[in-house]
Amino acid sequence: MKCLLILTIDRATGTRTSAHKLNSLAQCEGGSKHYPFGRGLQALSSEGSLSCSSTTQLPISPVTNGANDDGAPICLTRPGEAEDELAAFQQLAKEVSNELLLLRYSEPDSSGLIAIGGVQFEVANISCSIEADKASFSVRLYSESGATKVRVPAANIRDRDPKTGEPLSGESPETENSASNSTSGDMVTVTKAKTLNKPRNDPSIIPTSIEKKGKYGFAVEWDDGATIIYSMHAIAKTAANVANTKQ
Amino acid sequence: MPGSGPNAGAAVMRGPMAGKVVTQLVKGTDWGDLDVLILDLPPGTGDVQLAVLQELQLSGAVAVTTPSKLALEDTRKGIEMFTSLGVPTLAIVENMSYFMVSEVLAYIDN
Repeated sequence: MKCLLILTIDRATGTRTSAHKLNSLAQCEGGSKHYPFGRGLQALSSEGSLSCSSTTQLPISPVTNGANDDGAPICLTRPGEAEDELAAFQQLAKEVSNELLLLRYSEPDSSGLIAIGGVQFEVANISCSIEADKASFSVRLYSESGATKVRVPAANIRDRDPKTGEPLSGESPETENSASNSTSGDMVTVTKAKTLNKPRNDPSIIPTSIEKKGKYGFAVEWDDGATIIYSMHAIAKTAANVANTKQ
Repeated sequence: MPGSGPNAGAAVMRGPMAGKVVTQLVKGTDWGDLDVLILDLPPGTGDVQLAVLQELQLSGAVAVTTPSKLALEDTRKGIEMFTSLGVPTLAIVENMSYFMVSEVLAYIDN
């Protein structure tokens, strides 16, 4: 038993250091769980510092180790020897399936909705394109009952905070210029401006291309050389502001 | 492609190239009619993760970690990155979490 345990830990981690960690255990009583690398997720969960409530713990075991070596899934080769492992995988599959179903079919919370004329539209589903005249964007918003299209002047988008959608009128263009050629910490704004000597909301600055970026925003390339990624929320908020002002 | 094939060597690539390889793989492959496509990503919050988050509409992520504090801190940052880019973390898996000692009294020495 002694040899088996050491071998398992050593091969599972591939390092001698882990064996040293194991040596800190002087004696192990039979029939209980031991945590050679600390409580890990259990500790974080009890502190409440995890943003994900679903956690699965997989044990160190000869069966898992063997599966790693021969590349054969344990559920096919040795299901009878791996009850703990298979139960953990089953729990994981169940929880992930549940979460995916909830994401797909549950209603978004209030932070994922934007109101236009009393109707709530989903921020995550907006689409955005550049109008033929290049002077405005066409923003399409969808709700449970229908859809709407809002024509947003390009200068309005340019004059908004790319992450929050709040107006930027209070800041000078120099501030934006100093942040050029950099990626911001929240990865929402990327600016590669060659020159920004024009006012930010100058109508002569037109968008040249737009591309959807994952599930979080649209990258807009402007003809003054700036490329800015606007969050879905910023574009939806600007569109809602334009539509509600007209009404 | 660097690193591919049965007798492949190391894939020596800078970040932007790795991102493009992943984009080409995911978007240039005819995956057929799939129910689910699972991507096994390298650790961290680097170019590959960013490329996947920007190029694809991911439904969700499952984070995989070990119990060490350093690994958990990296995992927390990874979850934060995915969340900030609109992809929720559905579950966290902790590998090498514990081991069971059964039946006998085990003594582990040097």
